[in-house]
Amino acid sequence: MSIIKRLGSLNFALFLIAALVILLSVSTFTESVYGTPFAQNLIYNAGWFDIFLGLVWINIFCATLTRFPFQKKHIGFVITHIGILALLIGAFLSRTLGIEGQMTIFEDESKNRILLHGHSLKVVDEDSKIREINLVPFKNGKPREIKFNIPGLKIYVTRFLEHAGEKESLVEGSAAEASNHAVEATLSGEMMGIHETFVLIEKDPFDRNAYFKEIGPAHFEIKPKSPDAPTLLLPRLLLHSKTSNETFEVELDPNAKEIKIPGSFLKLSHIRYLPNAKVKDSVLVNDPVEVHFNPAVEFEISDKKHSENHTKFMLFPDFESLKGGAPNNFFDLEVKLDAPIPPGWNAPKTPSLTFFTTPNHEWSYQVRSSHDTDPDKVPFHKLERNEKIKTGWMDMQVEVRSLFDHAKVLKQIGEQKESESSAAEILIRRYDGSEERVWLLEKKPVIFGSDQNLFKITLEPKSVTLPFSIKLKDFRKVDYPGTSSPSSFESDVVVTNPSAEKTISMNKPLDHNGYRIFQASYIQDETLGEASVFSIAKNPGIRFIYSGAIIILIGVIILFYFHPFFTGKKH
Amino acid sequence: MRALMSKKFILFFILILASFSLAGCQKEASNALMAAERIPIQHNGRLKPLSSFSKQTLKLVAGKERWEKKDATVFMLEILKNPFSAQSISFIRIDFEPLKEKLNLDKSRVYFSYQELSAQAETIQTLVRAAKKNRDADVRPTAIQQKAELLYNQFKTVEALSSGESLKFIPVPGRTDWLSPYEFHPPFLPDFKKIVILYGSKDSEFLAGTEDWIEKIKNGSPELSLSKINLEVFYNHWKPFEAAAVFYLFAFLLFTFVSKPWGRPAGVILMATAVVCHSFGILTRVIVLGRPPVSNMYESMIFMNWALVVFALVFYAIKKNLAALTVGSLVSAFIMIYADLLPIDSSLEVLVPVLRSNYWLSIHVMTIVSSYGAFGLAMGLGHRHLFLNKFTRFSKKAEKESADLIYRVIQLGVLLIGTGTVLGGVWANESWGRFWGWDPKETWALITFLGYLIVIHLKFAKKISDFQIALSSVLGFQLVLMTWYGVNFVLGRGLHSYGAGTGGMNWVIYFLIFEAVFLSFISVRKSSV
Repeated sequence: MSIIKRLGSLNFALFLIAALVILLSVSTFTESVYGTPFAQNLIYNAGWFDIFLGLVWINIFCATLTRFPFQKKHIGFVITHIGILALLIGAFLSRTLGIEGQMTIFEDESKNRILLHGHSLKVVDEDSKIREINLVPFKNGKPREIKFNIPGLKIYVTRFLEHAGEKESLVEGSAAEASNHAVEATLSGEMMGIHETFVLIEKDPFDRNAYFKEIGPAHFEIKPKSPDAPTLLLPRLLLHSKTSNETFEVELDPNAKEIKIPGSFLKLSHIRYLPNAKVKDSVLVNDPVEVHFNPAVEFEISDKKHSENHTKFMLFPDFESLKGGAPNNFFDLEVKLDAPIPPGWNAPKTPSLTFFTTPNHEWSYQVRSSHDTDPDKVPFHKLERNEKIKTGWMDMQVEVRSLFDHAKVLKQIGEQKESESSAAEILIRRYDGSEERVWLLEKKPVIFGSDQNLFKITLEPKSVTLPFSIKLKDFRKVDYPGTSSPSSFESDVVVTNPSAEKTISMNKPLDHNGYRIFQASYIQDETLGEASVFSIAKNPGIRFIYSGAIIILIGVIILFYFHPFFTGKKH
Repeated sequence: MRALMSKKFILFFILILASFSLAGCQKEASNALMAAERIPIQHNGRLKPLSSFSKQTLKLVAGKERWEKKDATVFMLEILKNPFSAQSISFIRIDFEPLKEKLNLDKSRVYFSYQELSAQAETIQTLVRAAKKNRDADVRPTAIQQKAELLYNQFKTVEALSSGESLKFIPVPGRTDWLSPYEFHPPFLPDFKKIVILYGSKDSEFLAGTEDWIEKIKNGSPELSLSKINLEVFYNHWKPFEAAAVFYLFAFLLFTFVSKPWGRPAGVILMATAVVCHSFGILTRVIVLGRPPVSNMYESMIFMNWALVVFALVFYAIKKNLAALTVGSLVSAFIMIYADLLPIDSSLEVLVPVLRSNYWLSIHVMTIVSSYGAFGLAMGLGHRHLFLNKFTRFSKKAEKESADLIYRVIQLGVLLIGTGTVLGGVWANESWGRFWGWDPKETWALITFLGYLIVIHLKFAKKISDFQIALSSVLGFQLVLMTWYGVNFVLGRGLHSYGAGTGGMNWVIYFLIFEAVFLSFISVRKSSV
């Protein structure tokens, strides 16, 4: 009894209130300085804060108990404090079981996954067994172990960047490395108001066609002076699986029987690359005589269980690549083919500036304007570094900024404030002591492990699948008259389970299947179209909170204004 | 003695009359001007009278509502005769020395013309871009960047004025945005430019032309409500809040310095008159803008003040304690003056969508803001209590009555802020599905609530003295100030920074310094009892 009395004492209550006042003031200033996510993780979402609120609950509970058996004079006190207990229970339920997330849907699109706050790391083995762990924001620097319980392997996160992106940079490699020429130059002209810097690279692993560039009508190109030097790179496939929301890149070696796709358990087989594709008697054939350039690829893609066949034409990117239609659609792939365009495809272009290189790194250039029809009659000039080339096309000039003889294109991951996606650097330590550091970009998985035991690790925004799906039929925005600032916006949606057609607008959410769907924001983009951003929430404690609040109000009014009535004392 | 009293009475009447003339129309405006003030214009997403547009534009560009002793509308009419002339008027106010230095401007001058500044447009834009970059990165822009943003806004306003682009006087049937007579002339309307030119030289023709113009555009645009326009012109002229402030001040003087029996009823009548002006002002804003009266800092101050006065009257009616009215009138006058001093937007503007006409939102904010009113009243009473305790003979009975009144007012405040915070949660749950999100504003409302809760608990346990109750009412109000002002202007983060403008910090700091000095005096001085 004495312990209950002590826990329910006024002094303890005052201590808790005062502590809460100080704690909360400090936390708002923390938030002001270090940002919302930091404060949320340090204080409001931390386990110890739950414990603190638990103490408040115990204090109020015990304080109520000590009044037992209740008398008439206790009525206001007891009602008020039972109300607070109910409200705190509701708050706890919402904190632990509540869901709050966002969903962006474009018009005519249907979705059932919502993104929650924060990120998770997911490890999948070849049998699709999934282990998923929350990635709690932390201060970078100290490796933090992520316990996936994979025998013989330990995984650490060493850095996490909330807003990250890949930056490409061009550097000069050592003289021992393979020759690869590149030039960085600036085209400027007062008359046209042009000032543009561009880069030409003979062989860019990330862009098959970085060797030429078109600015307005002008054509710029870099190529070996000797006509029989091999110039073209292997074609490349870019794959995006909508099922797993992952993106892959793979180089197509036409001679390979089978290619493993980096970062996935998928592999390619039956690959046929046709740079001059032509459909003849409903069969795809390569015809370099009649067709100058029309690259296409045929392949089979498979994992342990499924396989599907695709055909993709580079010049017709909108053609569906999947063969056989919907029933065979296991991976829901978007396929892009990045093949090198052979030099001189179509008619020779003028005006043009061509940089010529040799294996001994001798640079020269040739400028042609529209009346120089025969390229052989145009003189070659020796190119010096930092040379300013007068093109003779109006007042345009090209200033050569740097020349590379052993160009390397590097992709580096770093902080990018405006980026919406995140990245994490992870450290994989094997039982034999060997280590591997890799950067994980959102939705770009990495494969690790031994040949018998492969794992795929993915960094993802946390998400949850809803028990229903939402389809956006139409989005509308109404502006204040005479301005472009919106006065309201709304969406027509179709929901399933149970199916219904509804309109959601700002301040008029839709209650569906235990969830509440709000119009949070919108996207209006010229190329992507219109989209609605919904925030979707499930708040299981809200009934407790509402009823608790009403009970408190009744109790407080009794306490403040009807106290003499219940105690029988005259005021 | 009788003679002396009647003399005082006459003096009092003179004061009343003076206050009326001060508060009322500053000058009898000519008929032509009165007609011009009513010309409807579309500006910032709303139809408003020319007088509002002129005042707002002049206030933004020149920092005041009159220019060279001319009324804003008169000034604007002169510009309307030849909008391009606005480029050569030196009326763009720059008062920030480092910015003048950066732009190579004459430091002895305060006002500059568009033409002078256009040579520096590049520099201004660079500063504005840097400010935007900082904002995007969640960093507060530097002082010079913020001033440059303001200047850019002034600059662009004059530009839009001189090109005629912002002068949207012409409704277009079937379209929501109006057009400028300087870019467009519809055949069914008289030539606006020809009417405007008549002002000042042929006033009677101008008057007829303007009335004809208003009549004609009224027929062409159903969304135009002339009664709203007239109401707004009336509001602009009459300045109900200034009138109320003067009345509050006189009521306070009556309560404090007139001990005659007529002093009290006269003061109550004066206060009631003030409340009527005050309510009229709030109501006008509600009608004209079509939204609840608590949507920005200025409106919340006005509404808080209104609640404070109403509570003072109610508590006076219940407790018969004149202190409620004396303190209430003084604090109200102060807040009115403060609301005018703070560089916050007092113009009538439209709202971002989130804050638009929402039932729960209005009730939530009005409840919270009225709790500030109660706490403000308690704070004033607390000052009075502490002062009387230390500097006069404060009888035990009077002290107990005073503390009881303060406590009752605090109770009301706690009830209101508690209810208001829960209603905020209800609104958040209705519009975002989240009852509580530890947003700084709601966290500070909770802190304030908890702070006063300590007082309530101590009072229930009879562990707090009358003096301590008064002291806590003063200290507690500092929490209110943080919740009300500090979260938007000091912390500058979170959802509620929607309502945030900039500045006014110096005035709040003066208040804090006053409180610090007052409280140290109180703590040092021994009680005179």
